[in-house]
Amino acid sequence: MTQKEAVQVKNLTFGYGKKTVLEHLFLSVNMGESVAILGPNGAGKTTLFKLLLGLYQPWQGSIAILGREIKSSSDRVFARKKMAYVPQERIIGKLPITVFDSVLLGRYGKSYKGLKKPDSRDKETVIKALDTVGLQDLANKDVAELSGGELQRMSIARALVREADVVLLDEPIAHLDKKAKEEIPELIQSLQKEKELTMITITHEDINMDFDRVFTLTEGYLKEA
Amino acid sequence: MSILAYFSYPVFVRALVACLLSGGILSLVGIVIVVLNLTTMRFALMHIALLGSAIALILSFSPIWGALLAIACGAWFLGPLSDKLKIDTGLSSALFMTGSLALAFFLFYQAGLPAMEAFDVFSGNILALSKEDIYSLVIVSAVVLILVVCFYREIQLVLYNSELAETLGIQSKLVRNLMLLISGLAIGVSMRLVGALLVDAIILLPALGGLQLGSSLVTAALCTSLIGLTSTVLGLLVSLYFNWPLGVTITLTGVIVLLVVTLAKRFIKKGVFAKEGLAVKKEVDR
Repeated sequence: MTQKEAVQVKNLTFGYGKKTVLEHLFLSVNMGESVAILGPNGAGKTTLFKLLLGLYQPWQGSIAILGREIKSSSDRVFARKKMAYVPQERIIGKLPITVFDSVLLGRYGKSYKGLKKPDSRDKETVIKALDTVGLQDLANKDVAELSGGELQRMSIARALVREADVVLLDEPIAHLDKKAKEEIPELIQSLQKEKELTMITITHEDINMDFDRVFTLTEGYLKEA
Repeated sequence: MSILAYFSYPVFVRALVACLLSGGILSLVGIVIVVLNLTTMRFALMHIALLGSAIALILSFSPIWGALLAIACGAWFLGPLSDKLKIDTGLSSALFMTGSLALAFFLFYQAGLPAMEAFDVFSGNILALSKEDIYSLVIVSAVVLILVVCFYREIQLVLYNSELAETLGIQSKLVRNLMLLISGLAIGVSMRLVGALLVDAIILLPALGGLQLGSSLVTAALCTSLIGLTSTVLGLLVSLYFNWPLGVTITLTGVIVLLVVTLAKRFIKKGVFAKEGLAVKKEVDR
């Protein structure tokens, strides 16, 4: 593995119970590269992200993040610090939370945890990220009052405050309206170019973005398109 | 008799302590129950308490501690069982509820147990609290407070989005199961105060109000505590003053406080208060 490689997956096999979801998968993503993994729902795209984040253990094969193979729990902590995950943002519970506080959650484990409180730098980072994604005026609004596009912007801001080396985008335009489906890829694209971010985007639908490489994931196998 | 005169009665002081702890601290677990939609779980835990009480009677030890132990075990297994069977916590709660109730009745029948004695765990009276009840209340309240203060951020993340919490390195399932355990114990000790049927007055009503008023977990928790304290302490004083049944008065006070909070919130949203504020400002300007 060269120093330039941000993510390297070798011969990865994983499944749930007796069902194999990913088979003999190879993937290498260089620093500053933007790649897309296309595939239908249930193809194992989110599972791959969870494996990269160390949430699941591979049945076979290896994963390395920034040259460090993910084996032990300290490796997994390292991987999570180096990567930012942008989930499909949706309102699940009834917890009252402002946009600012929701973005601040992205700093968890980075600079604050448990009894250690977020400091002024954390707050400055959040303000800057909200400004970058165009949500500065909505900082004090409750998350439940946001539109789908605004929620996705908030999720991207949360990834930005992690100041991570690799950003994982999970279906960034799913469930968005037409206008947001045009705006969000534009925002992601400009951020990737401006900050030279390493990005892996998984999606099951057409997305109006330029990628350095595109892969397809079907029936557990990954192929470069 | 003046209010101050009540302080010379140990029974009143014990009741007041119970009101302060339950209203101010135990009510916080209501936030977890409401946000994670665990309302079926609290029913399940009450029935598990009955089973624990029945087993304690067979083994000749305190039915109350038997009930609390059973609640602790039940709460600890509810989450992992739901994960293992890949079913909703509500469904596994229904399984536990019916299963434990049937098993309790089976034990009553087989061992010839006095069923009414086991059902004692379902009834509660703040003015008849034993030292054992107060100790259990203090211990559970302390545990709730310590966990909320020390793991506030982890709890906030799991309540907000457990999937996101996991990707940030939090063991979401462990945190959720701990919350279930503590919620179960809080329900168990609260049942001794107002009885199983009115336990929602302490656990759920304050949280329903607090979640409406708060704009974050901190403010929601503070509002919940405040509403809980108002309901229990005011309920206690009103009940003594008018000589009304205590559990019922605390519950009715809780219902009235929640209604006031809900209406106030609605008026604030509709801008009624804002308009009044504007009128006041105009008056000042003149």
